[in-house]
Amino acid sequence: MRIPVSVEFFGGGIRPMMDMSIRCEDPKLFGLIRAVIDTGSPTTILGNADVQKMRISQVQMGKLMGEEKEVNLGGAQIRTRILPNVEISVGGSKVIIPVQVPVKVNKGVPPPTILGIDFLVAGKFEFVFNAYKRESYLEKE
Amino acid sequence: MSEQDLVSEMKRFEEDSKWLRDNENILRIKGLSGKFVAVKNKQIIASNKDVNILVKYVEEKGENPACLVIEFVYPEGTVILL
Repeated sequence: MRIPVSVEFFGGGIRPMMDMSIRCEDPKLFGLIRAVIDTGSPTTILGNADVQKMRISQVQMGKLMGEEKEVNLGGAQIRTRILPNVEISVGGSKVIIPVQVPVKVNKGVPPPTILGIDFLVAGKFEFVFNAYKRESYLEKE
Repeated sequence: MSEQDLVSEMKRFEEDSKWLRDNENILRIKGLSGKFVAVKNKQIIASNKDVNILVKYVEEKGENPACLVIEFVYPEGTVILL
């Protein structure tokens, strides 16, 4: 199965980008999100705007797991915690992974949502990105 | 949300997302650089420097922000190193 990935100009250069839905049962969350696929990132991180638009309450924030971790992303300095068991749906495929959620943005421009290596591994995806031809897709066995 | 509603919302989201990318330079000229914008049906329905204020405004208009394209319009020349 091949899932197309769009190649777009974003943040100073062309990037592989995907639209997806994310869903979590506890805490209950849902949203439609555009993300950058970044093979340089080991983990998947929600952008601050995407967190805000899903209206995550303080009570829901309390259900995030682990210690706050400092992450430098796209020139922004953010502190994150883990949201476990997040279902990410792309092109008819569903992947469940823990996702990092920013709890505090200390400085810098707000980074986008990043789909990291953990998403590709959990979904058993082969990721193809031809920058010259501006073609990209995920392939699943 | 039913599966059918989700498919329809996703289709609109994809179209709005593409529209935002295609029109980013025009939005900068219109003074939206450095602001968050909310897009619905290929139109900017709200903008603000503070994403919290933007989301509240969108909700007051009866929209579900979780299903809208809400993105930051990066100033011209911004390079994001991931």
